[in-house]
Amino acid sequence: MSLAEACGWTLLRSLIVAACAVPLCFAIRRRLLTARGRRRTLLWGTVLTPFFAPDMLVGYGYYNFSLSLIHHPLLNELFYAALVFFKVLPVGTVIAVCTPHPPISPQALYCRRLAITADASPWKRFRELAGYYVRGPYRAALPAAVLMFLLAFQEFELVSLVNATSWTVWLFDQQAQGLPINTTLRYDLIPTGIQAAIVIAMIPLILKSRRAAGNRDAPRGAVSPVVGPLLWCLLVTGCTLLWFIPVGILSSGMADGLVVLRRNPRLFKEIAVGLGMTLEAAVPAYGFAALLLPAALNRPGQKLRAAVAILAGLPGLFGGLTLGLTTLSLFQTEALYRWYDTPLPWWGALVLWLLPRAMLLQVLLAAARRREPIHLAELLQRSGSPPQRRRARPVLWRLRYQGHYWAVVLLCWWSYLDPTLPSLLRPSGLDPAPMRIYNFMHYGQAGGLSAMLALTVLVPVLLAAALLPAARFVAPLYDRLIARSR
Amino acid sequence: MSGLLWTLNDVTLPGTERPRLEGVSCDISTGVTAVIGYSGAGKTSLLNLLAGFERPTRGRIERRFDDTGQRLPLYWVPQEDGLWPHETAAEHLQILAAGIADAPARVEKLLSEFDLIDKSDVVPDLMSQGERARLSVARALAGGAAVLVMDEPLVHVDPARADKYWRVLRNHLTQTDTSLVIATHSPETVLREAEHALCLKDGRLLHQGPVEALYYRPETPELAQFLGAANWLPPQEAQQWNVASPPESPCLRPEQIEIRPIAESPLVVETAHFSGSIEEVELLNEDSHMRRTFFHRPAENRLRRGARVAIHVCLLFLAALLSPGCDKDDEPLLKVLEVNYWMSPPMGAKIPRPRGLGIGDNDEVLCLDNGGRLLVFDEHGKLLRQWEMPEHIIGKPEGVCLLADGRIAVADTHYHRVVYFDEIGNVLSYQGSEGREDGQFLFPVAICQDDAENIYVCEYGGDHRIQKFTAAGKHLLTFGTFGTGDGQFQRPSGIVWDDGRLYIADAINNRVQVFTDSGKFIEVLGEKTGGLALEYPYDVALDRSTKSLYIIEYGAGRVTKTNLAGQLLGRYGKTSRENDGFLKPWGLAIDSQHRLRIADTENHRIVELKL
Repeated sequence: MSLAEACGWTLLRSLIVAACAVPLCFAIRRRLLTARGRRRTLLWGTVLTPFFAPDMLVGYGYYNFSLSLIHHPLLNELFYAALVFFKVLPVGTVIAVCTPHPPISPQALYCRRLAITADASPWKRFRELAGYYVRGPYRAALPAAVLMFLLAFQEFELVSLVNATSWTVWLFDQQAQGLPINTTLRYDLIPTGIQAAIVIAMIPLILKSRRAAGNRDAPRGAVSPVVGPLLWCLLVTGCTLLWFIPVGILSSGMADGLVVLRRNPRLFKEIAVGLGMTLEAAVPAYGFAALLLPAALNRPGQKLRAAVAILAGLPGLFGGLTLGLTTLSLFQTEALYRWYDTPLPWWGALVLWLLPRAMLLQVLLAAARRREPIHLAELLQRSGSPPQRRRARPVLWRLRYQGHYWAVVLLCWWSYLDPTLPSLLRPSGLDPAPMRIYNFMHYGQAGGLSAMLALTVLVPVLLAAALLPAARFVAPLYDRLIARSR
Repeated sequence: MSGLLWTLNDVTLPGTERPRLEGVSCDISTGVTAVIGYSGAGKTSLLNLLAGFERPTRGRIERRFDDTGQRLPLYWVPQEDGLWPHETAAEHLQILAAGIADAPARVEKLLSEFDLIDKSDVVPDLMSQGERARLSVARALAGGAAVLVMDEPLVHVDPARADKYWRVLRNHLTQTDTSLVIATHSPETVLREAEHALCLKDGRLLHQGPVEALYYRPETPELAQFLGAANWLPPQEAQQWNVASPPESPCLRPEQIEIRPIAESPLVVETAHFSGSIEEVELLNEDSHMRRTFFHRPAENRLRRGARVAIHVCLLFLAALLSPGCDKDDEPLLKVLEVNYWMSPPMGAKIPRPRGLGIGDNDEVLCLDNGGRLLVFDEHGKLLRQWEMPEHIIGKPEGVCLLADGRIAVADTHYHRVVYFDEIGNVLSYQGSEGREDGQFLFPVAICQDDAENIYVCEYGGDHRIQKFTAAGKHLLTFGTFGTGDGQFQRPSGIVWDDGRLYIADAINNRVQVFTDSGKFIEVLGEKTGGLALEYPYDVALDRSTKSLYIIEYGAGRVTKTNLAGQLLGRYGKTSRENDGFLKPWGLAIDSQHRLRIADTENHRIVELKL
């Protein structure tokens, strides 16, 4: 298969996945906006869970299954498309929830439709309404559609393990087989060009959307009673496909493989390498995104920061493979060659890869955060009464710092489990555990491998939980320091 | 805490098309200050600055009350409630009440007062907008802050219940000596709650000063509009419309004029829209062919299109304008030989405010206060005994009277009943229940007894009426309705009987009305003797030996003495925190030694004037 064919196949699949996912994202969004209390928490949990499933876990879980479909490539492609669909649906839903309302509300659109006489021809109706739909509901759908398309288009780790077709696999294989980096990058221009065209077209639309945002949602008409249960079925299917089944498969063979952990102390060092690089990249990426945040929030007088934010965030939007290959090429130039076999290329690429995600997380947190409740907790913290001050601290932690903590944990989770960038850029002797295990996965499932994968995935989870009390302790100290300095 | 809270100097906050605040300079004092203006005037911006939520880009805000000891200095109720999404209603209050004495009881009480008991374990996300608004206010009260800043509090609460919550807030402010700054565009809220006003328009400060001055003597028609409907009538216009020109201010509020049908007049009603408390009437002057809209406050919807009318200015209000709380030089002074006072005894950490007064046996002073207590002092001010009302969480009683048979009758206002005690505070009986029927009460507020031992009870809820009972409680008579006409009342809050006549303090109508004790209207006190200017007469007492009436004026902070015809014999006092006047006095009584006892409410004391 040629690159063009692989690109075409990936493009088609990504477009279909995004197009199918968009209406579902908005249907879920309506449910999320009307749900309250525990029901809302449960719904959010079910929506987001599939997105956090490590690709290597999912791919590993279905490795044998996809092999069994070797004589039915179309079925395998469909199966992979389904996995990608459930993987990107949560992202699209989050974007749908956070996208500003379009300037033309559903009510406004309906009013326009009412104004068209009954005897108008279909062509006249289309001509008069097309602009309204583009400025209305379609505009609201675009950011979600584009992001889902990009994620589906540039997906690499999962497609590689389930033996489906993608330009990413084609390109990586070519590079792994010895194709010169410059040639590889020239091949990369086609898929990158496709993504760039879409991204560049979207940026002004997103910036304009923030300025032209419409009013809040008004209650809509009655929705079919079937929709709710169908959506729940869909979401549970996603969780099952991307978590329960792979974890079940992993667990089934793990018991026999636990002994491998004892015989493989190197694994622990590789886990530490992975975590160390993760933290060193995630924290600066988050901090840098925080500096650029006023630009993302479109405050006046921030045009320079907005430009820097766009430039800094662009490389990460093209996926780990393109970014890794580009970085590899850069560090093979004469100017940077002496840094080639150091952690710098890997670290730099990881920061750039995380940056758009960090900015998105910052924007989402800022959108969810309200300043008044925080100020009210701060007022209480300035009370002359020690009991009131003590009660204010956990409130402030929850409102101000907790979101940041979990955002950094999330960035660490993504960067830790990425095998692509370290495959291309790590220095000799510095192998992170996820990358090594990912490489082993291409040779099939085994008990020992299952145990190693389980440990590799569990360690950061336990670490995040263990660090939480420390973070809660540090935050009030920071607060006191700030209060004294004022 | 007294004095200034903030000083603002040329404060500016930028906006998108124009500054949200521009060059605002003012002082904000203790007490209740209302920031008034239409949408977009800058109210929220100003309050955000006061709360420290925003900082000005230019100018200075100086806060003058940081040193409040263990007390939380300031708390805030933002426009969007500012609730913590993960905390339940009870937890919100518990956090603020941490370390305060009796915190659990306080939390429970606030939840009850704001009707949030059944939402105690509910997070804000599951509450309605009105419930969130109430919780936001309750939270601010729970913290016991010295200063509260509230941005349109309770605006999302249905009007039928909002009054109740405002009462809770008001009581909290007075009981805890808390100052309040509120932003509102409701004139009724300003008039009811605030002492000072700041008027904003397009980010600029147009006016600051007492609410009363803004209401009765605004400098421009635009300022008049800040506090609701007004008839702006400079002398030429007043003449064109055949209205007696007011001497001090061209502003006549709806309650200050009356549009009455008459047989012949060039003024014809074009339209009349009655909205309950105000009627908007468009008149055509057939002589000049001019049209103009007037606002007046009729008791009922009477005017019809085509009716011929005349505009009357209420003399009493004019008189009130002529003497806005200060003695005129040509008015006689009440001769007072000696002034003494004693402070209201504390109730825990609080010092309640005295309200209703009566005279008991041996010239004992019976005093009702806003701690729900009935205090009995001897004639020299020594506390002899006291007891609390059986219930007083909802509200406190306001009227007390010693009956001929030795019982002490208390108008238990917010429980809509009369409670009878013996001399040591044992409850002997209850009379009445909530309702409008004969024998039922809506906010009974004053009681007196005649020589035949009949009991008269004044009420200001619903019909604003007087009911007459035998000593045994049998209903005899009801008279009076709500309104401004002869024989009508707006808050009849004091009553005294003499020789077949009742003298009733008609507080909001600024007059004392005289009736027979069979309920027939006789006259407005003073109308035959040249008029008697009063400012919210809250109570009236009679010196039987001299046949002199004493009237305590809540609005003017003074005592007025008249004869039974209403001729002015003297005045004493002014609005003051010192010893030369009173601050919002509620009640008075006179004993057999011609000693006047005055409940100087806001000064937390009982004042004795030896005449």
